[in-house]
Amino acid sequence: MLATDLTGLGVNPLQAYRTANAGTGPLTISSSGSAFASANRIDGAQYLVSCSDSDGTKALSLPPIGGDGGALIGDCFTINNQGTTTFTIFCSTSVVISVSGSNTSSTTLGIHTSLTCYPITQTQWIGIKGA
Amino acid sequence: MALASDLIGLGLSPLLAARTASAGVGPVTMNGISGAASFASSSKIQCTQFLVTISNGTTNTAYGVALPTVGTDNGAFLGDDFVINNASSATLKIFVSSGVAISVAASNTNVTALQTHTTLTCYPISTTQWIGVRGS
Repeated sequence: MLATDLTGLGVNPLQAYRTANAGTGPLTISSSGSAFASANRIDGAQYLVSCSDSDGTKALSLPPIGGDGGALIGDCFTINNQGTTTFTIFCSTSVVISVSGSNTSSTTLGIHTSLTCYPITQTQWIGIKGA
Repeated sequence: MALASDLIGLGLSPLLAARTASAGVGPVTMNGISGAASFASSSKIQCTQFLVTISNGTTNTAYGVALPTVGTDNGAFLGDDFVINNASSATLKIFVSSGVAISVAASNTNVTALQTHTTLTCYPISTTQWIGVRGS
């Protein structure tokens, strides 16, 4: 559910956006850019997103870890590709993700597949990529 | 959904926070036991240690961790979500407790292997059965 569903049940907004599995939304996101700095960035509490406009060149980036607008250690992010081409997901500077047999600064997501990932330190994500 | 400590900071009770935080109480890192060959000889993941990465394995030396028992005071609850990552250069063995099996990667087994830089999500669905999703 989204945080708005929980606030509607009386949960305070700060608790709601941290406990709703979809976070604050929106559930859809557009891709852009070709590096962390230029790619469209997933917000720090935008835990569930699907992207459908990939064109083989555009990308997404994970939020930075920590700071006011960043992800918290242990947050769970799920990213889906509904598009017609693979897109790349970038980590922030000096951050890597352990996924698909590599510890890397970016990973690709194929058509109609999803990635669930978690920051476990300020410089490390782990991810589970669907087949 | 963070760590329990983050939710406590937002006003949740500690017991509720431990059960609702996606990472549980932490810590998010732990060591496997080199050469572990069974549940008993492996390092145990705690019952609310829902997100953990293990990085102390060395190449060519299998090492192991164990999922918590299911039920009782110190066990996992049915439906709990455990995420385990292998950030080392060695294969990680994940054992389940005696009389328990995990349905994952086309087998129903008491131990499953996790390759370098891959992740397993698993859930107890009865006191004797886990199910798992192993990343590609």
